[in-house]
Amino acid sequence: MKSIGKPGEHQVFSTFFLFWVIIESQIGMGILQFQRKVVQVAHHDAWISVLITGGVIHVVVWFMIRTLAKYESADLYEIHQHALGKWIGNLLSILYMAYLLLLGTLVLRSYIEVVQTWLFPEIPTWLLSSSVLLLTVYGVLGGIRIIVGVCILSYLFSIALLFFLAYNLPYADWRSLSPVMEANFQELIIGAKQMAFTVVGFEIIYFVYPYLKEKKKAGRYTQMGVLYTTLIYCLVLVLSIAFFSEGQIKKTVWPSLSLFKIVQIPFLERFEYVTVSLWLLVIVPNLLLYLWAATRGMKKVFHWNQRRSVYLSAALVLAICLLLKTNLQIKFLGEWAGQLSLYLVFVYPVILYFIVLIRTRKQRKEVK
Amino acid sequence: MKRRIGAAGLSLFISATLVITGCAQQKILDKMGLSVVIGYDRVDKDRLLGTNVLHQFDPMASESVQIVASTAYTSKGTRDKSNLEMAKKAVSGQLRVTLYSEQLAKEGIINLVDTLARDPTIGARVFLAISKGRAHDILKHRYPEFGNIGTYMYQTISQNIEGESMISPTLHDFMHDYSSVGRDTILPYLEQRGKEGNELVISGAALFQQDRMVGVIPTKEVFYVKLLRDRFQAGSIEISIPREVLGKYMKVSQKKRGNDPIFLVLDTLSSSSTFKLVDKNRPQINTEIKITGRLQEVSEVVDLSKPEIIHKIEKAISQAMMNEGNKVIAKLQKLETDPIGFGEIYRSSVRHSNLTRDKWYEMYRDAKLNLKVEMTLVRTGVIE
Repeated sequence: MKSIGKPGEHQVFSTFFLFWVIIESQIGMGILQFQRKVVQVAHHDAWISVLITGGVIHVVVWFMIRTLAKYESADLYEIHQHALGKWIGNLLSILYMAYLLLLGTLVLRSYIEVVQTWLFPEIPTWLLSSSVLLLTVYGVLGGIRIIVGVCILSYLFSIALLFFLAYNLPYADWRSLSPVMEANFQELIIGAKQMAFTVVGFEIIYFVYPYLKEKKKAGRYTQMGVLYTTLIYCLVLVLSIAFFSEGQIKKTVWPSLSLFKIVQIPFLERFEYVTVSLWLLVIVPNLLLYLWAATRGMKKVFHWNQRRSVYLSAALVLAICLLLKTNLQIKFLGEWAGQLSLYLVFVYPVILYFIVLIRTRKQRKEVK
Repeated sequence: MKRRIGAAGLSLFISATLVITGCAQQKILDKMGLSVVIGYDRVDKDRLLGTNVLHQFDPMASESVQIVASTAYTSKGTRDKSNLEMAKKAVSGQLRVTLYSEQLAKEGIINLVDTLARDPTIGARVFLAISKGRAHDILKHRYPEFGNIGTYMYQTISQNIEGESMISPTLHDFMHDYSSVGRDTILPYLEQRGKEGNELVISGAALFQQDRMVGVIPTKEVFYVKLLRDRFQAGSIEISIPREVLGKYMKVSQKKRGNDPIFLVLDTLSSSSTFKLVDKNRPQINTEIKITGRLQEVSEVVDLSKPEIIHKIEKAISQAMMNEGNKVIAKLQKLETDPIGFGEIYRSSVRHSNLTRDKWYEMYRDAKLNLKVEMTLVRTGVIE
């Protein structure tokens, strides 16, 4: 099937870079606070839940790539139009766009919440959110290749932070991890479900796929990226369980930042402040990817100028950010989005795959 | 052309925003009073006395610290009240030690510690300590030998932790143990001594039941708690062994000195321990500790070139440590406090134990906790 806006030669990027795009899309605000949600259900076996979620993602990604491979160069919006027809297809596309903007909003607002809690309690939300959004708009207007570049840069900066976690090792009590498999199967599955919202973001493959140079390799690099993030999440969680006691994790809002609290270098006593500031570099690729993907949809569905839709979606994100005033509201919206993501990212791609399968088979018969 | 202007305008706007972002509340060092130590005492039924030791940055000031005390119902309340009598605003980013009086600690201090953990400006490495008598008196006293009580107290504690004669009492450790099921906190116990109370000493360690202080053990016994709770990498200890162990190798003149024990000092101790839960119904935990060290001092002339003498000494030390260690464990059991973390061992080795604190204390009281020590002398210094 032919697609409308097939990207030109100067817009595509090497599939190899997809690895970092996937990592950066999956790692965002979630990694700062996911421990608590999973440990609450699966206790000290929470790391198994993370591995389960990782396994499920591999399967979902497989379905996604297979769906995309049915077409020559289409993104989710075009697939929707083709497989589900104009009305239902566009409706689902709009839902997906709204979801992407919601994710962007949550990332931004919860980052600002962290800044307000840890660094500057008196800084107004509008100031931070509008300045970060300006940066995002600027980046999105640069196009997908710029965004991929930002992803790689952000990875290089943030990966260095992992090494500082070694400061926690002297405080780690590995006994906290045993007895292994004390949680029952049900608890592990609920834990994995709790984990799901933290690691969403890989659905970005639905939108960047047309921009890949070698589309055959897309599956390989996406799976590698997903595996890498799962391992990072697992590492952070194992370290957190060893470092904190169980009761402590359950009460700590941002356990990962508290992990950095113990880091003390002679010229820098409070490392977590550096982490919070550096974290901007981690959330910017998130915002760029979500906003970019949403505006692609506006172009495909409403035939809007992408430039205008970037401004519009940034304004929308800003507006919702300003509406969220308290920590409780953010938490509520986060939980709601978590439920939504479970269906949109984990269940829906599998259904879509079968619909597409039927549609393309029918078409082939018609052609014959 | 139009596009270029747009980009320039955007970058101008971004840089302007960045400049505005710099306008968050400024924190100028000269206008801050940095709390180094804060002490808390109980005044009456529900009021606290908070004593704040602040760093002075004013080169003209006659004292390097300023001490401000005030009473309120909460710890942060005392800080706000203290601000009323200060030229500089008290901030707690450089807080190193919080000192709680024994009386306060016996009532439980979790509410006071919780606010520290809640405050992002306070580091996780702040030390907690317990004072014999009022914390206010310790902090308010003018010590002739050291000017700054704040940093002095911090260095005293941190030096002893690095030297492995104290157990790490950081805020993180406290919160960890408080919210765990099977381990209790242990904090340094500070005391004023000497003529007119001019010396500040760590005289032992305060034992806790969750957040409530239940007793004190002398520093000598802290060694055994540390041996069982952590592991040694570079510690040292003075230990005594009975004289008759080496009786046969001694000269007649030495034997005549009666039955005084022989004292040994061991250093660069390094230890490793294995715990084994033998019985889970009526908990029995067997602990084996392997410890190596260097003989640094002997209070008697002993020929250390003979392997059999070394072996005899090793055996005697192991025996002595075992006896002492078992005594300490029995004492802890009697006080119903578990700073070693036997509860954690129980929890991590029994599946579906659903251990809670109350359940553990119940079991802990009459658990059988056996200690076995195996000592190896690695070297005896540069002479034999």
